[in-house]
Amino acid sequence: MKRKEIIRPISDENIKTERHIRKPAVKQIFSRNFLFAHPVLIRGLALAPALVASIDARNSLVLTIMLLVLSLPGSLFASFVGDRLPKFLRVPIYVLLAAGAYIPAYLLLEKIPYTVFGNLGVFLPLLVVSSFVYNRAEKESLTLPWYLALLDTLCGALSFGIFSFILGSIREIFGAGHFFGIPVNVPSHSGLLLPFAGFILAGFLAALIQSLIRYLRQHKDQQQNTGGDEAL
Amino acid sequence: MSDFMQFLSEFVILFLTTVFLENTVFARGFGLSRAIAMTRRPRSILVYGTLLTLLTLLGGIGCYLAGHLFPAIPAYGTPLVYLAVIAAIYLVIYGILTRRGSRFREEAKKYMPVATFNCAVMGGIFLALFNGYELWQFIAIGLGNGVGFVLATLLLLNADRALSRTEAPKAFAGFPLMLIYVGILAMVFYALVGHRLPF
Repeated sequence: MKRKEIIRPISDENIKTERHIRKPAVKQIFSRNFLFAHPVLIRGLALAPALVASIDARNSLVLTIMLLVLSLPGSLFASFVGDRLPKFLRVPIYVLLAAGAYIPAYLLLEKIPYTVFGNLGVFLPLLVVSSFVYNRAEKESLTLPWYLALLDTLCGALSFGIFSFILGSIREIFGAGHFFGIPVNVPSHSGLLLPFAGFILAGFLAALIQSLIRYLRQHKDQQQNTGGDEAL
Repeated sequence: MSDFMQFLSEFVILFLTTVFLENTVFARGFGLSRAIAMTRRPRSILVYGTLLTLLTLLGGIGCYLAGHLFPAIPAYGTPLVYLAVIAAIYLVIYGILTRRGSRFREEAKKYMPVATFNCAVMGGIFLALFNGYELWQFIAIGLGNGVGFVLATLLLLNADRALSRTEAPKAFAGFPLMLIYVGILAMVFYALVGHRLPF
C-alpha cells in the first residue's frame, strides 16, 4: 500500500525544516519540469506570454531567453537568503531583481540581429512580474540549495521555451505561412495568430501531456503490481 | 455642465470598455494564471479582486506621476522605475494592513504580494503608460482592470464547476478543458468588439 506524501505549505516558520525534507534528486527536477509539473501545461504559469505572445518561433526564443535571465536572480536570492526574510519583503525583492536583470538582457538582445522586440510589445516587460518568476523563487528555490535552484530554474525556463517554440512554430507556419521568416507552402489562416487560438491550441497540448502522464503512471503501477505478484 | 457630462460619459465608456470589451483576462491573457488559481479558492476572490483593483488604481496614479517626474526613462529602465513605485505603494498599504483588524485584513495580508506583482496590475499600467494616457484614463483603466478581473474569475469559477460535471475525455479533464473554454470565450469577446476573422 502506497504512503500518501503529505506536502506541507511553506511558511516563514518552517522554511528551514522543509529545506531538508524536500530536497529532490536531479532526476526528479528534470521529470518535474519537463513532464509531471510542466510550468505552463500543468501548473498554468506564465500563460500570458506563453499563449498570447508566442505567435512565431523568434518571439518564443526571445521570450525564453528573457524569462531565464529574469528568473535566475530571484531564484538564487531565495535559495541563499530567502529564509531570513518574511514573505512580504521577499516577493518585491524577487520582482525588483528581475527588473534589474531586465536592463542588461534587453540591451544585449537589442544588439543581436533578427530580434523581434517590436512584435512582443508590452509582453516583454511583463515577464518581470510573470507568475513563473514568482513561482520559481518562492515555491521552488526557497527550499532548495543554490545549485538545485539554478538547475530547477534552468529546466523550468527550457521547458517553457520548448512549449513556446512548438506553439509559436505552429502558429507561424499555419497562421502566417512562414517559419523564421522563410515562406512555407502550406495553407494558412491569420486567425491562428490571435490570442484565442493560443488558448485553444494550448488546451490540446495540455491534454496531450496529461494523457502521456496518465499512461506513464498506469504503466508504472502495472510494473509495480507485476513485481508484487512475482514476489508472492 | 455639458463639459462635465462629456467627461463623465468618456470616463464611463473607458471603464466599461476595460471591464468588458478589452477585458484584461480574455483579451490579452493578463492575470489568467492567477484567475485560474483563484477558482480553487472561491472565498478569497473578492478579497483578491479588491486588492488588485486598489493596487492597479494607486499604482497607475503613482506611475503616471513618476512618468511626468522622469519623462526620459529609456525602454529598458521602465520596469525597474515603475515597479519601484509600485513596491513603495505596496509597502505603505501592507503597513496599514498589519494593524490588527478584521478577517478581511488578515486575508488581504496573505494575498497582498501576489495581488500586487502580477501581469493584471502591471499590464494595465504599462498599456496606459505606453499609450500616453491622461490621469483620468489611468483611473478608469485601473478600476476597469480590477472589476474586469473579478468578473472574469467568477466566470471561470462557474465554468470550472460546470466543466467538472461534464463527461469529458480524461485527457481533457481539468486544466486543458479550462484553457479551451477560455479560448472560446476570448473568441466571443473578440467578436463582441466588432472584429471579424479574416477569410
